Amino acid sequence: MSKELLRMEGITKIYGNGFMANKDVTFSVSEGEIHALIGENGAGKTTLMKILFGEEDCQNGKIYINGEEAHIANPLDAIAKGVGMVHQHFMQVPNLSVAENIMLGIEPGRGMVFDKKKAIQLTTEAAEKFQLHVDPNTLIRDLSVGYKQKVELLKALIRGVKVLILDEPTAVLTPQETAELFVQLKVLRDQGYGIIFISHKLEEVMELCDRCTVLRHGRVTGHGDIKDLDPVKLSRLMVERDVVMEIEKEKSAPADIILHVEKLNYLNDLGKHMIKDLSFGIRAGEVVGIAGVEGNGQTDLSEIITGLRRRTNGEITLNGTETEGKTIREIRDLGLAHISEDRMKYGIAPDLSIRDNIASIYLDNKQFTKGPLLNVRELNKFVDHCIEEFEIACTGGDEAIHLLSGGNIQKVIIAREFSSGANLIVANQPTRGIDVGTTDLIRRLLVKYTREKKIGALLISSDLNEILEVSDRLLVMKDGQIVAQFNDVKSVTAEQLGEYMLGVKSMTPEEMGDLF
Amino acid sequence: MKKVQKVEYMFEFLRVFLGIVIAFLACIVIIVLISEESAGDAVYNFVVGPFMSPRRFGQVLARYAPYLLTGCGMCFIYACGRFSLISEGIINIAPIFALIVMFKTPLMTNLPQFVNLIIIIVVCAIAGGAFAMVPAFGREKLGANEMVTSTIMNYMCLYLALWLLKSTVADRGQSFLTSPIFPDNMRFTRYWGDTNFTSAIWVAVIGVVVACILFYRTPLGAKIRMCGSNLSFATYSGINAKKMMYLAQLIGGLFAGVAAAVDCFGTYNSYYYQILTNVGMDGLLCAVMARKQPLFVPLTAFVLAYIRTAAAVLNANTNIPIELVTMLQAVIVLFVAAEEFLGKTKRRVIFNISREEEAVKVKEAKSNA
Repeated sequence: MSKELLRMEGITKIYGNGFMANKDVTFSVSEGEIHALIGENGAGKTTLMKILFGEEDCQNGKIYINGEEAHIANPLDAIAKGVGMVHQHFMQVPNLSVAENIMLGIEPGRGMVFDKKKAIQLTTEAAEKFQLHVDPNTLIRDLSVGYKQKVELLKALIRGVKVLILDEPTAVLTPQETAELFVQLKVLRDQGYGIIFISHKLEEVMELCDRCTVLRHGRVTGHGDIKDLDPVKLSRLMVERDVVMEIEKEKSAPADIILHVEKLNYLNDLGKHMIKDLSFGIRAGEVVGIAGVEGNGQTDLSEIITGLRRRTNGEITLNGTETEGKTIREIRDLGLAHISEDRMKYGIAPDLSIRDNIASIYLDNKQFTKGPLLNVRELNKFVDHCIEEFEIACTGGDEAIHLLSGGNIQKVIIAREFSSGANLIVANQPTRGIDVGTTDLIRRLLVKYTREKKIGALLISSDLNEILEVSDRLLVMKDGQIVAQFNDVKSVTAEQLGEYMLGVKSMTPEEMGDLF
Repeated sequence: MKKVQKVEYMFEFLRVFLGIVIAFLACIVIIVLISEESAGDAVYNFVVGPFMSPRRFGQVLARYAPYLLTGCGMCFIYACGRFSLISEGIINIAPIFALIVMFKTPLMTNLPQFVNLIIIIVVCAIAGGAFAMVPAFGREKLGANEMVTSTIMNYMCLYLALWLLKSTVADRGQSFLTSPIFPDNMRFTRYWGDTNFTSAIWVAVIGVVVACILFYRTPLGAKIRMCGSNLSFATYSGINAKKMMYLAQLIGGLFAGVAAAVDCFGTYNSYYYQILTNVGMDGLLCAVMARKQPLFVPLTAFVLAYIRTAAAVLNANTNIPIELVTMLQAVIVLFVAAEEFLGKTKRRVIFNISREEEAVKVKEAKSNA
């Protein structure tokens, strides 16, 4: 067996809020191998790599580099010890050239003088050596994402690292760019580098990697040579359903169609085809769940339906009206409520009071205005009612919302959106990072509102428990398409779901049946 | 939770208050250091000078009125997340249009003072609003930074005003560039004999009330605040953010226009502005000190008016230059605008509170068990 470059032993990391992100994780990389680190979102992959790269400390465990114990204090230290990382979001200066970016911090030249010729020469030499062909004079801002990634790789390599961490490198790439990246990574492997490839795309792992380690809930659930593993086994190791919280619900009785999506397409700013010919519908009185590994178009879908993003083409009708060209206000007025995935960015204005945060979508509502003025009394009554009904723990409507806990902030959002009288609720990750009590409340409300008020709900969640528990009908999204539909959610197992989510299997249109 | 909020309020107040006190002390120290005559005299002049005669206090109030208005106007611009400094130029340019109506048309000649004042205010406000829309348009439509545009435009306003004055209503009988003296029915009434304190103060008071209602009690004000606090959130809530940005800057311009009317036709006998007045910038300072809350502008505007007058008194009575006050202002801004001033202490206090609360919870849990 080839030489071991790096070994992490018994790593345990507990965050300040008591969350255990890694428990007793052991992990190693050898010379000339690509080692996959796989697991669902929140499984602890990124935390583990942050510890390795010196961005986080850990409570327990040892790191060995080339057989010697090493203490990595910060990223600079990590690079000095031969560990480099390519982040998902590139750390580059857009207005500088490729050579300048690569040399940032290790500029050649004497004293204060930057020797540009030398920088270009060094860059060209390195590009030649590692077969990462880049033009040292181009500005970063003019480059495509795939190209930027090459620069990022080169930046790490030129600093003499032997172990490269790639955090979901293919998430932002088009298929062609991905293929190119794989060729380059294989070249590096053959030159003796150790590469850690973080991913949750099984087909890529199977194609590229030599060994893999699977994480689930911060623990290692499996590792071994890729050739001994198959996708089904891997998906079972990754996906599991933990303790089940039962929610009592009557059988849904889907009525009229509320949301109708037909042949929807979306290309993002980078030209990546995020949603492909997607068609489905939601009826009154049902919760439609969308499961899928993150980054397969779910967020794009919810933001397009709610009007935050513009579709490339396709039809979306809400309560019979086409939403193309409508403002967010108009779409909301058609009967939409939206619980965004990014609570702090879209859900609230942190400096403002609870009252203002609840009022934000009601400012043009006749109930709360008196001529040109706000009807403060009516508004206060409504806010107090919300605080009481949704059990928001606070001192009153005047309290600034950033003083509340995450769960209570989410309750404010829920109160605002659920009270709006909308008949379609788009809930994207409504319970992420929230305490058990609030989570339970939100799930029950979704079920209750669909049954009692005959509204339709679209639930996007990466929490399998939630999606299996709350949905009446379940769709699985993969690469911007729906690959499976389950009408009888109760009988679906997490293993089955995992196989569809990770692309091991997919249903034919006949198997899926009617998506409306 | 309640405690934490109290602590936040307390530190907010402390920061502004201590900022002013420290700036004040720094000033006094410098006065003592540089004054050649008795330092005590200088300090005395600086601290109580502005209150010594109706004339001086009238001067404080004369500055107070335009500060109130520009301060409130800036709160709107600032609260929606924009940083247009156009108020400064509006002070110079807006009265010119009123002057043209006054002296070039027969409209106002025989009207009662009250009606004339309304005409003046309306004309100035419209001019202010119109000029404020230029940097707003540049920003929202063309993506040009409104701070740069408005700063450049301030000089444009200054020279445009002088040119318009020269080519229309200038009084050729005077040795310097100015308008004819305002007739009594076309200016604010002076109070306390012949001081600079005028009936313009009532306009300012009404302005503050209107600003507060608009800011806190109307859907428009709420929307503007939401845009400034979190633009993504405002968009998500279905608020037309672009429209709010325009409206906020329009309101800022209207208020600056009224401030121009109040200053020009209150304090002076004819159009006197030969350079930029700094009233607009001082309005920004008031808004910053008030932490973009119109409710606090009356307080901060007074502090500023007082300091400015104190500097003038000092300048007249001792050998200390008026520029000293500019320095004092800088210190105030430094402390008030620096969010991190006292930040460490604040965090420590909040941290201690949470720890105590946690300890209480643990205790309760134990006793329950």
